[in-house]
Amino acid sequence: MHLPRCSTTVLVLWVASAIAHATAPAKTPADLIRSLIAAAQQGDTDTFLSGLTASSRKAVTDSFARQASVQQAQQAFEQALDARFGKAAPILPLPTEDLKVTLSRLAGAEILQSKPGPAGSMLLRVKTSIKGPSGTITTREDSLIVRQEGGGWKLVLGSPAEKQPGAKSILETFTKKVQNGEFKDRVSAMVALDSALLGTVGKKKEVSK
Amino acid sequence: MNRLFSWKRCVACVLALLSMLVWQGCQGCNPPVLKTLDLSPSGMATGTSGIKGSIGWCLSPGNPPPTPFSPGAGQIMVGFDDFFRAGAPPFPCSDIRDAIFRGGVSFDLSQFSSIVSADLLYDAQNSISRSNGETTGQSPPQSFATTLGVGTQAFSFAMPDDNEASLPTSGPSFDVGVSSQVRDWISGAHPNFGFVIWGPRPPVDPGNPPEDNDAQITWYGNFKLRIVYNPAQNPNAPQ
Repeated sequence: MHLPRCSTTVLVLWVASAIAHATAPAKTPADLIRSLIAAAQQGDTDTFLSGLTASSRKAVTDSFARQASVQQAQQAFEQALDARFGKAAPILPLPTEDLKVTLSRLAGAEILQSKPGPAGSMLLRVKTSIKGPSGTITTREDSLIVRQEGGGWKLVLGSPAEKQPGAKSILETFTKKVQNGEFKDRVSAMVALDSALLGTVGKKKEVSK
Repeated sequence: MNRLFSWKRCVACVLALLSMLVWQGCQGCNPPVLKTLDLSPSGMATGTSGIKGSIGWCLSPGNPPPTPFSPGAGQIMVGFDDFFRAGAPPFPCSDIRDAIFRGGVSFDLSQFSSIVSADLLYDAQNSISRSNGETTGQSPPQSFATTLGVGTQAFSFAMPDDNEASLPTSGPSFDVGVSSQVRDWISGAHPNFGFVIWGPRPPVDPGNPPEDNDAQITWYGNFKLRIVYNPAQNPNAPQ
């Protein structure tokens, strides 16, 4: 589950460079949604990013940076486990998706409803088609917020703020606990960390399908 | 007396002749002296497959926390570790992590030309499960692996396999007959990429990934491949 540090850096720079990229501003929310879907299907991340508000683009950069720091903290935790309980047998990690792969899942979108939102924004109810790697298409309904910025309609997107203490802080705390000999064995340390990480995301069992 | 002596001599001669014939005829079918050798693994690894990221209107790798689990020294890890957080406006993007862990264990069989039998021996050393937001360990450990396959390529994150067989789940010590798999490796009928142990879940269907926060993981260790062989037919093996 390790995001290679170098690729994270590349992605952050790539996202930052895309901020300067500009396309024709969308005249209506519907134009914007069409443009975003077309860009996603073509793998054109620059055009997709240019359809976001400035704060949304910053959220993307922050998200990648946060993932990288969490990744480093996790590696430190595993090194502490190895130092305390013996070198672990190798684990072959799941490749982490990049932005292009994530976007490529957006296969289509249809605006079901639009209504005025706060401060001149519009609230859109959108039926989104999501494409799986095996080609299967599933649909879901999302609520999107769009607003005018820089002479055109832009999408407001972002990541929810992580609860505090966040995953990085918890990993660092448990790394110190392992180093201080507070766990009798490797599994005890991992179970305790797992319980602590569950707390960062609230009631995860309250799943809505 | 002479007649009796002759009769006795005749019987003795017949018996001697019979025993010679039997001895000569069974020279090739004397029961061989078999040997047993426990091999240690030549390679071990745990592969992680599944999905990790975001679904929906997403512009980030998502924020699923990393899985805190990893194998210890001399161990493989088998099972799954799920995470799901549904998106909600203004973040219509669900974070998801469906990690499937498969263990690979390989053995060097180059000293054998043929075997009488082979058994894979191992122990379930630890296990955990997570449901309803709580992670607990089991004592004695529970074995969540359900399937034993043979690898179709060098160890990788996905650990693909074929020639699958069901595994017993009662443990914590296991002794699984693997004679046919080992014979295929020795004969070259199947390339030797080792065993792949997996379960209880199949690979994640990307079009319909599990959306839960459950986990079931077992750590296995003390792997041995017990080979019974005829030294006369395996000159490179210990005699």
